[in-house]
Amino acid sequence: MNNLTLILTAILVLLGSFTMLISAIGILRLPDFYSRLSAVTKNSTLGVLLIIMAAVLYFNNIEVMLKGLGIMFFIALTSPTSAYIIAKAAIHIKVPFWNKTDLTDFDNSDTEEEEEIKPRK
Amino acid sequence: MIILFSIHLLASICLCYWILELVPFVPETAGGAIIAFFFSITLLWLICYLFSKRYFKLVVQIMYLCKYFVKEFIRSNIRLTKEIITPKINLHPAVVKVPLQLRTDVGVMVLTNISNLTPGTLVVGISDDRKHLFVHTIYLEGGTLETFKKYMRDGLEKRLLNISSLSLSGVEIQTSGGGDSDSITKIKNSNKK
Repeated sequence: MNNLTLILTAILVLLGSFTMLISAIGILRLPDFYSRLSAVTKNSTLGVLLIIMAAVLYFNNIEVMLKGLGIMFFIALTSPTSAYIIAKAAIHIKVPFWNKTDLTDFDNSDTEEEEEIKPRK
Repeated sequence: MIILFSIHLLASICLCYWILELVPFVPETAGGAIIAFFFSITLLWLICYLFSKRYFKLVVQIMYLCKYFVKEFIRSNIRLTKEIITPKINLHPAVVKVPLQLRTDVGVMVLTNISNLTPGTLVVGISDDRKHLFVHTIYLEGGTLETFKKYMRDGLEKRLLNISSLSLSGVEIQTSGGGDSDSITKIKNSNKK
């Protein structure tokens, strides 16, 4: 085990936990549901990716690298999808926007508001 | 094209395993495996140039998309970190109705997934006729709605259109590029005949 890899893993773990901390503060500080959601998806995804990269660099094995690549791929695939689903559900039950939000484009289009629930055949 | 891509990936994994087993000076660590994998994938990609030049161009476009995605992802994180740490919050949130040029399902899925990770944007919904995308953005680029639409069209959607026009067959190119529902029905009717 080199000294250099130890320093690099320490830097990666610190950066990852720092971005997770930033996303946790962002939940408290940002004014709106939607802006909080966007902060959480971006920062926590990068935090998890950095911590897994640190684990791969520390063990330096092929087996650990394959598992780490799988985890990274599926987290990067699923976390924006779940953010999209949560935002769509929030639009559906009409969670209010921040009062400075520019809503002119959204109010003119009534396709999103009038969603009819069709019975399944 | 998808079949060719999966064959390419599987063959490069097999070649990487062979290199790790037989060549003595490659170390069996994570770095050695990554270097062997990239070596084998570029070697097979250069061989692909002899068979189909379209696949060669497609891989180049996918590399451009990956480079753009990584750059925007890191930029978005730095920008949000600055926004949260500094005491004064100045956001300009808006909901923008962005017109779509992509027509395929996979293209729209990749567009929403990537634009949820690029700076400030969060996709909120898709209109029923699949021609518009509702995007909630934190920073309105340039100040007006039109400049934000231009930013989305020139940044992400142009690269995805390049990929989809290369990966589809000849008839479907016209539907993905055209944008009129009339032309799509005309092409479908001509196919039935």
